[in-house]
Amino acid sequence: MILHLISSFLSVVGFAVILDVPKKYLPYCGAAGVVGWMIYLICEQRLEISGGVFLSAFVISVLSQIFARLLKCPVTVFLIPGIYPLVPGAGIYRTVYYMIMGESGLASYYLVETILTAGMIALGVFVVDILWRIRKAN
Amino acid sequence: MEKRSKAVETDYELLMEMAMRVGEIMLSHGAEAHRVEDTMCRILKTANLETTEVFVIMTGIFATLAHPGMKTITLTKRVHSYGNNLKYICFANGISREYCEGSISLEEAYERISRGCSSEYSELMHILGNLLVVTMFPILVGGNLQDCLVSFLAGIVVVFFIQLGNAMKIHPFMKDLIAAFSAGAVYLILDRFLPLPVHQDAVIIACIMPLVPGVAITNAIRDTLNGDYVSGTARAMEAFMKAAAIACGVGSGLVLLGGVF
Repeated sequence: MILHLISSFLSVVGFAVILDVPKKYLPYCGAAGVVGWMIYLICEQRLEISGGVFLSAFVISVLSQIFARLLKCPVTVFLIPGIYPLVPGAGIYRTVYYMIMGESGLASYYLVETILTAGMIALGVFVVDILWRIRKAN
Repeated sequence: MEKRSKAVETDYELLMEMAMRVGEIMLSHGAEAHRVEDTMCRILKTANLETTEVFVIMTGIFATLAHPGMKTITLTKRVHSYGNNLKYICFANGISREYCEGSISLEEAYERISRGCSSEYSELMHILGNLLVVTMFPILVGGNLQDCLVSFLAGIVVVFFIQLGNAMKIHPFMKDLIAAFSAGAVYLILDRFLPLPVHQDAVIIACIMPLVPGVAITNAIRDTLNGDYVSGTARAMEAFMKAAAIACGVGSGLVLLGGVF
């Protein structure tokens, strides 16, 4: 668990550096990433992958909105590095791997999982976008 | 009188030019179409003209300012994507925010946006960032510390190819393909010569993580849900092409070298 904490923090910071996030925002990106990953780990066992990804993306998105208001910069700066651990890189790889191995059943299973995961991330982000706009309108 | 109306007109042109540059910087560095439209609209609305139209798709921006008795100003800009760089989005957004709040003048905003901004990190920092991701990621996909070590070693080669591709400015598809190929190939070589039991999945997934089109996938669906179907489809295509390049690369690496070892 502690290993997960450390590695999710560091890899999110790594992504943030790749994406050129200004240095002063790096810890916030890391924090959003860690919270998101912990929620994913906890929820994944009970709610299947899609539920875990959705909740995790939802929380990362809320955190990003809060950070963006506090630090006066675009939401994307925290959001994109934060959700990177959820992005289905594994799904892409497994889809191709099983395709090569000639196991088309497993390949299509992972293809669907990849699309589902990507969709769930976007849905989580989108729901928060909408809620935030409603909150701002009122 | 003549002179004054002329001065006002150039003012609008400058405003237009400024908004266009802000939009271009944001769009070409990976902001969603919706955000770009929103930001540009806010800047142009400060002119209080009757018609303010901004239309943004992933590959271009069109904007119009019109008012009764004034010459209509319309600009079109073809925008090329430069990948994802959040620093630039932050920079353009900051200027637009300050301008809309009224804390800087139009000339100052234009001057600052034209000067542009540069990356806060050196090449070395980018390499270290890539290596950090590659080294830490195996844990997140069910690996252990041994996998991290192997992944770090393989990552050095992968990051080398990513940087080489960037430096040589080769086609992005080829760059992803080569880097992903090296991920598959180096994994097999290390697996053969290092006396460590490793999880193949964890190491290879970690190695391709810096290449994965996370931003494109997310933006594609966000744009689509926002009703920007053209941008959404374009982004989805971008994500798909990247994923295909990675997939072909890893696959061919594993198959070709799998035959050798």
